[in-house]
Amino acid sequence: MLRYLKKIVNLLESAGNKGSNNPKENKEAPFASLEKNLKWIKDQSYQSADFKIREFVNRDLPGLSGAIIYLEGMVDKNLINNNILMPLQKDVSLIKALTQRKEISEVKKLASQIIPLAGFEYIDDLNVGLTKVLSGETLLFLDNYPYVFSFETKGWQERSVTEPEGERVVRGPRVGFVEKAVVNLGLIRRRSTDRNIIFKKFTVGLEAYTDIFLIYHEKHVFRDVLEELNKRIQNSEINNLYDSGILEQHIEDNPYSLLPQLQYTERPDKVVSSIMEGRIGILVDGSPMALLVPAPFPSFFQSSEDYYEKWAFGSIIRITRYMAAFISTSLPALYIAVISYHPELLPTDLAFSIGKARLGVPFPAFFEALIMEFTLEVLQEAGIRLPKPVGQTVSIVGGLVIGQAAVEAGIISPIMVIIISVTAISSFTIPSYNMNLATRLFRVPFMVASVFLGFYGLVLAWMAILIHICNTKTLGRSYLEGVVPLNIRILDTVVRAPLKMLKKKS
Amino acid sequence: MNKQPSVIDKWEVFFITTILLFNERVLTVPRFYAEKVEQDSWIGLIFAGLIAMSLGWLFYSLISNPQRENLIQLVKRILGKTLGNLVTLIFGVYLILSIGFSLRGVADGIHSILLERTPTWVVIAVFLLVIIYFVNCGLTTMIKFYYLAFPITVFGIILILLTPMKTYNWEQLLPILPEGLGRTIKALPYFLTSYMNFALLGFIIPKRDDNKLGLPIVGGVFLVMVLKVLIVLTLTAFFGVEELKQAVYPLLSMAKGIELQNLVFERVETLLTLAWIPITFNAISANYYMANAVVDNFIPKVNRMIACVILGAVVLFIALYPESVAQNMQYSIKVEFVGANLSYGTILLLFIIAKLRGLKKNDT
Repeated sequence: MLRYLKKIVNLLESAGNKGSNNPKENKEAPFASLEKNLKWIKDQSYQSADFKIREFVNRDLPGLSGAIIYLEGMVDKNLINNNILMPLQKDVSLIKALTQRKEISEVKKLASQIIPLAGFEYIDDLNVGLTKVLSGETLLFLDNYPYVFSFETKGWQERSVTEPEGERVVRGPRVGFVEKAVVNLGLIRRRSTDRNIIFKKFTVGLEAYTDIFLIYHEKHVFRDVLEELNKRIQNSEINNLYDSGILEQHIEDNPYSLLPQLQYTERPDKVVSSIMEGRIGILVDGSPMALLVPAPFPSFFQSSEDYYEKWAFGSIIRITRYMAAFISTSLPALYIAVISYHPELLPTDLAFSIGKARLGVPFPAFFEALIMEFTLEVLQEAGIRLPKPVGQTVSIVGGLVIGQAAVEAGIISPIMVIIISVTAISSFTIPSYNMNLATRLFRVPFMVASVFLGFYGLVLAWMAILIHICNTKTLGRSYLEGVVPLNIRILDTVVRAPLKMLKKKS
Repeated sequence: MNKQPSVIDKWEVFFITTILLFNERVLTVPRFYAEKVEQDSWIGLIFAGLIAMSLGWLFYSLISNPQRENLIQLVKRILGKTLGNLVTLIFGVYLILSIGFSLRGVADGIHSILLERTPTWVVIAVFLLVIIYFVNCGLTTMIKFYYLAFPITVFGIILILLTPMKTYNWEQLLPILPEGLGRTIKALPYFLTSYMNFALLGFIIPKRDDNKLGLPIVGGVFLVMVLKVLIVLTLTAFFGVEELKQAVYPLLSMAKGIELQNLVFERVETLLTLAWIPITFNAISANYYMANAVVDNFIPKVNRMIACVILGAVVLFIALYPESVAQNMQYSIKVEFVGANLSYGTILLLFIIAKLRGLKKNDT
């Protein structure tokens, strides 16, 4: 049955691919006629308003006409006016250089000497040319000449480099990535002048091209991971790559797992330090988040600051984060198990005070916890989406007013408010947001396990999660690298040993 | 990329051996030993431990073959296909019975301390589900899990044993050997049941490149021996021989009697549950993996997941068969007694046959 279903899916996929408008698949040679070339571009761009076509003639070469095509808002107009349009209209050397040489290599050589721009390319495929326009380059067509030239004229409004919002530190650089990949490459270079750090460029996308860069240290890189990553990127069938998050979901080992298998960061210092350890960074043009692979479990509990402060603080804070993750996933479940099944495990005084606090609460502990969890998630979501000042108001109204009112109305017990608050605060101590999300997702199944089978269910749920962690891989490598098997690397995973020891380790 | 690691660490083998040998029966067998040799259980455990260490070494020399054959393939190679299959079948039947009765033991234990009103089959079924998931993840995942389970098992048990230190009456261990060594030596086959279960190593080690793992295996058996001796010593000192003979779950009863003052969870049985469930899980899952390998030997084309689920149904049926806790214990002890002695006998037999045939280590 499954085999037939697979066949049907394959057939559907192959049928879908036939109709694909992937520019990589169909090569369209440029026409000799300028008019035909422009018509083709207009047709293919559906006469989109931001496509600008500027036709020109040269004052010294009568009869020669041409046109440049660019995308409004994606280009630096000063570059086009001064470095392309002016030489084309008022000078003959550029046009001659482009048209009077027979060998393409000569054209390229001459053009590179004459054109005062960083990038220039000769193109023999209109589809490629169109993609170049879409990424901010300018195309040049000359009448009676069946070639296209592309000039590097990218220039659009960008957010300036600011402090990373999601990974703030008290001590350490206050620089975060921006949306432009080339700026991010520069930020990485600024952090380390090591010549062994390499940027490898890929172009990804079936419908639209996006540049991505692999960043690694030539000598330290995990070769097996690099090979695997290359393979996965090349095999990823992404139509449009809007953000590194999309790429993450295409290249991770197990897309059905709730655990994050790739790490992301906005911090150039984190990328550089990871690269030095042999890991690989991935920058996607248009995304301010760099991906880091492989991403073993302990890496989600590490922060740049661990290394900028003394080792003892770094170690204590790391252990605290692991404990916080445990609390974040398990505290409500533990409470439910004890209250519903095993109150005898608590000291008598504590059991009495909890019982007293729960007097009059109409719901069982599980529903109480579910209501609070739901409220908490709603408040978090509202706080993130709303503008900052309003978001803070929502937090205050939600946290204090609703919480207090719910307790006074007898809907929720004060102890449950404490439990959920501690749980929420604990989840925020995890430096990686994707691991934070994972702990939040695991919370409900844990609660379900304890409501049905008490402490026994909870222990089995912990074991199931632990098995899942043991079974998870990150780019083909063990998710528990640095923890299992026990070796010297534990000095930089569970704890943060003094830098001298870490140096010896490396 | 999903290949198993080609090298196995010595520590990994040490931890795994400990985890596999330290099974759920620590809850019940001290009472059984007390019935057999009274306060001299610890001496019996030491003797049996020494035998197990020697057999562990022999076992390692058998399984570390350059052909990388697992235990089942090796048995068939040494004994021939027909006899090899017969031994494998017996081994498989023992494993399935052992899993069933062990699971029932877990369910009875959980029933008595945590979930008095939950049906036994529910407790067993949930446990089985986690085991099926675990076994399906494969050996590499199992090794990692056992590795992580080691500290929970060892430190959990040590903590439970050390907490009531003040209440132990060590004089209850005296006199030592009042009836001489004869009684203890006679009971040795029973004590050997405490050191079984390292057959899983016969599936792990041949797949990895390392040829000096005999010592970690012996070390693992030694640690288990120390822990088990510690358990029977403390239980005898806590209860006295006569009371120990009456206790159904002596370790559990001891834990129930201890309170940790001024802590959030003041009952030690909580800690015991935390340690005991993983301990049980480790031993049963190892057996489950091997039982599945036996099924795979006879029906190689069956999907592993399907085999696991069918096996689960059979095991559930066996686990629900005994009518009472006592009956389950009786069955369990009989099965383990036969199984332990059969396993050790087979190891010896295989070793002798390999030697008699003049097969060098490389050929076996």
